[in-house]
Amino acid sequence: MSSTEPVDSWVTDPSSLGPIYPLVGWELLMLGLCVAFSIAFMVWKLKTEHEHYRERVEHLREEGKLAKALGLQSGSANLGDEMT
Amino acid sequence: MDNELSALTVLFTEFYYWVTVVMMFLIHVGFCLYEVGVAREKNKLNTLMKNAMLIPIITVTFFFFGWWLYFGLQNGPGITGGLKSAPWSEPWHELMGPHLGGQAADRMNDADTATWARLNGVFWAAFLLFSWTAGSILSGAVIERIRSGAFWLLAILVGSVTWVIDAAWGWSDSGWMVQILGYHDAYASGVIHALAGGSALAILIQLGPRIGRFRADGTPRVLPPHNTWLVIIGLFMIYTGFWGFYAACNAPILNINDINPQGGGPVFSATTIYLTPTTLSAITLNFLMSLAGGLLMGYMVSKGDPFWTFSGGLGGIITASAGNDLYHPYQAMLIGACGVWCAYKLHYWVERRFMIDDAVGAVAVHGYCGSIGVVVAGFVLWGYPSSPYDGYAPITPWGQLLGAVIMFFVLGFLPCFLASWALKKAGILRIPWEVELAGMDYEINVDETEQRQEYSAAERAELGRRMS
Repeated sequence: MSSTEPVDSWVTDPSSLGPIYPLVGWELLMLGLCVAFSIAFMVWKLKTEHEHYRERVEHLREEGKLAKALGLQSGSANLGDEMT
Repeated sequence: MDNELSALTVLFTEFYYWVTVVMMFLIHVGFCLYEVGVAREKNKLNTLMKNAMLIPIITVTFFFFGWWLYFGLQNGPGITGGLKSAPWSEPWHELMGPHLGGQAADRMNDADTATWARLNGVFWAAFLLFSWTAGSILSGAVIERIRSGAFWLLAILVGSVTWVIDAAWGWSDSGWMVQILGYHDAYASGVIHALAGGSALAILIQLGPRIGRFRADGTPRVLPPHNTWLVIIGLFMIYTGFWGFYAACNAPILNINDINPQGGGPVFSATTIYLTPTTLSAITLNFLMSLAGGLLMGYMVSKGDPFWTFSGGLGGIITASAGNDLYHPYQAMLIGACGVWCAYKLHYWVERRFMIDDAVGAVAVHGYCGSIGVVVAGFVLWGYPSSPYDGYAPITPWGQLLGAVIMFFVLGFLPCFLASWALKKAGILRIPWEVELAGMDYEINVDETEQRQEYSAAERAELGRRMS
């Protein structure tokens, strides 16, 4: 029977056992896959974050939205001092 | 592992580090609580996720290259030798996975394979938890205006690269700084805290203060924590995890007569990372006395302010950590207290002079206390041997001063200043001002408000149906 595991039996001399995970010898390929996934995550995050903030800024610039978010009564006339 | 004593030694060491890792996890829990408590209501979920996601991001990068950097770069390279061979730390090596140590691993002999098969994972994890701490120190300082993506890139730089390089140089038994400068930093005042504080300061300069943090005349406005209890519980959690951090800085049991044989029988002891003998008893006395000194001074200098009192406790430990394997507890207490006084004064001077908005005082508690602690250790421990090995420089004020500069500025401030400058140029460092004003959780808050309103409407409708 073909298999991925390096261990055929636990009833053996324990001092002869080395690596016990599946696919011994394929570590570089597994590393490559994990590195690719990690890079893909960071690229995805940076792209979606940029897009997300762009959309949110557009939304907040609609009349009165930002003032409402800040709990102001109307407009953004009172924000002048804080924008620097 | 071929007799009961060596097997027990290795298996005890394996279990010891495993326990320290579990304890150190509380540091991260504490940092998350602390930051969320300090952040304003409108930013708390973003603040939590920014710090929590640092865990997987630093973990995988530390697996890919951080662990190898620690062993590979101990000579510089190019200062006391070339790149060092450390097959067990390579991300493709069989000892980076489950291994029972019975067959000699690639480029290793039988004895080393048997030992590293048991200890590689727990050593790796202990160092990794230090990496999370380094990243988390930055996280608190920059809340409420940094983009998560940019923060995570900076966290990788600090947690998986710069702190690891400084540990290789100054926090290993054969690092070049230990050999040439006699650098001594037993519980990481410099290698974690000064470095992370310097890194945080650099990012804060590029990032700028939160909108409204400073008045037109440059004086700071106070932004009270949205939940003081979270802040205080978080700091207590950090104290608790710090016990694990201290234990993890030691090797629990070594035959110290084997390190540099001078004749005589075996002598078993705990040692520092430099393989100099110490005891858990000694560092427990000093941990608590430096905590006490920091708390007393924090309370006094801030006139009882809870935030600075509890931060003062942390600052006291951090200041004394460089020499807490050797200090008398009275020295640990006074050094901790002095460090906190200096850090408190420096924090407010820098804040007002340069308009630096450090939301949690991380640069002061970690950066200033850590750097001061490294320098003070040079005077108090002047002339002590830095290592059990022959030919290493002794501890000196100038070796420690240079060490503090390397930690805070060369490996802390400089790389993060350049990296955050590049992120700023790319326009991905800081959130848009509209989002900062509305709050980073704006969308979630709006959604939740609508969901609650809809639910309330449904309840009112149901009430009306039942009453009719």
